Amino acid sequence: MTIQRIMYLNTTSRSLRASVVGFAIHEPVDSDPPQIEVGVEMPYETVHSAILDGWRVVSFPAQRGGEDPEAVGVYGYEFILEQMVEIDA
Amino acid sequence: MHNNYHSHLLNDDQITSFIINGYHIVHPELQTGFNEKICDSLRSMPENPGEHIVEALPAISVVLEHPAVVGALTSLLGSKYVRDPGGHIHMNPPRTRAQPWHQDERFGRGHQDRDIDHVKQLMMMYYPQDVTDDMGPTVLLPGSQRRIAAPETMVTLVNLRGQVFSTLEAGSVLLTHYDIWHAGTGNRSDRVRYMIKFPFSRTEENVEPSWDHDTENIPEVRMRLDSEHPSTLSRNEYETDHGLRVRTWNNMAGSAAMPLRSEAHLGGPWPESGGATTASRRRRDNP
Repeated sequence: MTIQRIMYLNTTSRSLRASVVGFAIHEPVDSDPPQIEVGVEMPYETVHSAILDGWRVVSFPAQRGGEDPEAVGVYGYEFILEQMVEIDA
Repeated sequence: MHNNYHSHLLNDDQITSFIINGYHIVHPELQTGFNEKICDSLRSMPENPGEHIVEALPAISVVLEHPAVVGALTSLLGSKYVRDPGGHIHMNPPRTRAQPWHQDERFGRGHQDRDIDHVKQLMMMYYPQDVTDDMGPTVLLPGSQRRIAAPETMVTLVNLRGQVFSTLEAGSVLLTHYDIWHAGTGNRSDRVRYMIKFPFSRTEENVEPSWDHDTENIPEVRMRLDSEHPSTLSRNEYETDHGLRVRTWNNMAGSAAMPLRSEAHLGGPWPESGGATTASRRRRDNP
């Protein structure tokens, strides 16, 4: 059967070519959630490079407006991607 | 109030680093065996004493009153800083999972009521044993003390570019801006990791810098505040974050305040053929 891998990528803008500044990969197995870990590197530099590697975007970040011009807010723009993988049923 | 701390005041470069990144590490010279004794005392405690740490562990006063610690706290919070209630002993036993990213609660204030352009409150974290990569070091996101974000927006965040881990030698003291994003990470070792945490507050505004300041350093300070971005900011956030860095200096520096707008704004070399235009040069790698 095929099952969904999910990857969150946080980027510096809504552009597919924006730099990735955060990630989390949720493997399709019964396990602990992904952890903050020493020494990890971003798996992709951009969402576009993840697409080239076979990931599909399933959620795009919303356009932002009306933010407080005096404040720095939410960390990055969140893309959610999926990759279908075969597992033994 | 405190003796012998003047030679331990921070300098302009260290204050600038704190403003940009939101943390500073002190390495107080402690007597041989002091950290081990603290660890022994912690291991023998039948339960966590909550915020009554000094009563349960009087020797911790050596750290709280150490000139290197007092010098750093005086530099960051002014000479009349106070220790607040709410200290805590953190014990991270083997085989724990990481905490999620968070900012500490602001008691009596809304979660989004943060000191984004000042240093009014700090957390002091003392580590009585070496903390290695696998012992669940505290992770910090430099510069995040200037972010205002609801906890709900952090729940999907895990590994972030620029995250810094407090892998430290025994006896190290980590001072953080109260609002910096942080988390305890998972302890994958077979050793317990202790950390003792105390909050401190400023009680009065500075009339002049409370650190070892030299006006001749202002151009270098200005250059760093203008150009160093500790975490990767979104396009909308560059100007705001820059302004908040300068405002933080001004709020701390009293008479040594500087203009908000830099005279060097958009200065520098002409753009090269095939490169980005002047206005977008700094963002050419961040479309």
